[in-house]
Amino acid sequence: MKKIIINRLGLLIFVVFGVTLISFLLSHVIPGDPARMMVGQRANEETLQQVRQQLGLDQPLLIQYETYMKGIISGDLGTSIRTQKPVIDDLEAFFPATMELAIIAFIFALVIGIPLGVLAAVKKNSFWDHASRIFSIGGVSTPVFWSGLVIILIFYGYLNWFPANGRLDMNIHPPTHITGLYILDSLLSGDMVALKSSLHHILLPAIVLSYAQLAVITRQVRASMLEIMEQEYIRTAIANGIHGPFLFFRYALRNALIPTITVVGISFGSLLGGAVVTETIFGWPGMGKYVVDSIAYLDFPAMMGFTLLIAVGYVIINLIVDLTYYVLDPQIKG
Amino acid sequence: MVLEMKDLCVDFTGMRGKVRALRNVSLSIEKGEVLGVVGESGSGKSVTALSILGLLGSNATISNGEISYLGQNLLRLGPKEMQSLRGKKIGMVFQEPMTALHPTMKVGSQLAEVIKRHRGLSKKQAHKLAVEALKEVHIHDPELVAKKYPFELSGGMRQRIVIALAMSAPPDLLIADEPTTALDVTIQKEILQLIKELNDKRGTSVLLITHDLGVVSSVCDRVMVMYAGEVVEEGKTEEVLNAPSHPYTEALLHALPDLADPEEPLKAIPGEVPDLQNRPAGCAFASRCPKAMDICGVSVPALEPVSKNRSAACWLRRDTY
Repeated sequence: MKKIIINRLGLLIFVVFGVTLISFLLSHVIPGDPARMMVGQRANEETLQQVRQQLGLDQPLLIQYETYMKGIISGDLGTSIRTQKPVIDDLEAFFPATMELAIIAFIFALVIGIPLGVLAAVKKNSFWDHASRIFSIGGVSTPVFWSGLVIILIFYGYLNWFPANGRLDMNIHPPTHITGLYILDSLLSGDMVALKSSLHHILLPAIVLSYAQLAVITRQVRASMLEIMEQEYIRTAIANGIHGPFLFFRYALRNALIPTITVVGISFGSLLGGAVVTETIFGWPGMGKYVVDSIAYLDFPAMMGFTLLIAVGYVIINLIVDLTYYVLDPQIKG
Repeated sequence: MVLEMKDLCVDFTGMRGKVRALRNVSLSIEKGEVLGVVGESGSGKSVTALSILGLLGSNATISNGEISYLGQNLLRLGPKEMQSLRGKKIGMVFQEPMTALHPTMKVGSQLAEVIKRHRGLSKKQAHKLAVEALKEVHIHDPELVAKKYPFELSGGMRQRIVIALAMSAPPDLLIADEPTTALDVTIQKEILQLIKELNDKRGTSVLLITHDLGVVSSVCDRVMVMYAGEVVEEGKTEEVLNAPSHPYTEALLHALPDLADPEEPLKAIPGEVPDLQNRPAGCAFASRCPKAMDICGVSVPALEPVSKNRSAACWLRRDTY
């Protein structure tokens, strides 16, 4: 177990190096000049050169990269061209909101997707199987900007059951800052008012975001369940009188989950990265909006900082996936 | 009579249409008796066993016959009643011990789970009995083994555990489908001894499926020989093996290696089992039978008594009893 962790964290160095190199090169070969964006179309050549110097854009690429890498090592991701604030501060301000949304959406996708997959496998080719297929395929094939708007229309517009904007009601103070995840923070600080309001706000965007991931999990669980149910040990269990939910969950699902975990890990990564549209629709103050604005502004440090964060996130998720294998399958020795 | 099967017919529906896998199979097992079922692959031995517990796949249909357990017709039971019978009244051991256990659950927990179900005990009591059950199948250091996962144990150990699972209720009838086929010869003997011992000690009836006549002669009271989904001969083990009535049984015995003359080549049965899809008219064995007569290719011989404790389905024996 320890070995896996150390191994993976060692790998992280290479990932960081690779990702920064690629994102750095990409952002510098695309046409467009951030200095020009800053000073505007009408500024004269002199001002432009001055700003370029300020941003270090007049230096050779290699030197620029070196400066950037040195910064990363000391925990400095550069200064955002757009907000004029350190990128790391910006990410810190926006990342928890995205993380919270992704986690809740992920929990929804698991809690609904796994039982649905089991049901589809157990009642193969029945009404339930087809219904779960249509429901989950609907998720992947419906664009988030559409399903998001429909949900807002129904649950906010017609029924007015849920708010459609932000993380909290306007008149409620955010809970004491501990992790930046409002639900967790309000639980930790015992702030029930904030807890209720943040749960109320997160429900709709989390449902919309999770719906897209549901199909992947449901289909994978169904496929591995069907495979496992054919195995001999299941027949032995049935012959020994084991049946019903216990057979499906305790005997079959546990082993069906092993191949599912990989898919689930990737799915969480795309939740993090894919929150952009959902955040925009629900006015969720997360990283999505920040990144979109940064791209429009050719804000290289901000874009690179975001890319790096997502890459590190992927490595950590993969580490968690590997550790989960270890827990689920005793045959894998750490 | 613990189990009685009458005229059972099982059909499988496949891509090429319907195939009759069992044709009027009848058998009976007395309390404490060990009945051996022999035959080559595809003769319907396993289908016979699986049909008793209602474990045939969804592509199989029982189109005729009756299976009664202590006078209760199993074919009329609902799924719930069948579930409560499995493992509790009738236990089953399968051929492949390597894949028959839950791969990611400790063997003690697997046993405890089944015991808990059958006897309605608490988790703690069930765990205690699980260790006892391991001891009964002669596992040394049962406390330690209970904490192991199947992949940490040998094939022989696993088969002992599978037997312990099947015997945990304990059931009135144990069905063992080729329980020793996947094991080393030395382990085979130990497993057979174990089954025989449980049979002697607890009076559990055993339906032992095998293709090994050596296994039959060492543990079975009676034997039933199957060929192409039919019973061709049935009787007391000693009698059947010493003086077979059916040419197929005789051919099987001839095919055994002769230990007195190891140089002698094995006498394989010429030809092959007929395709059940295009079953020939008459006796299914006729095309391979050295004693086949004209009638054998035309009409199917019924299984009829040929002596006091023996029946055979062969035209040759028709008038001898």
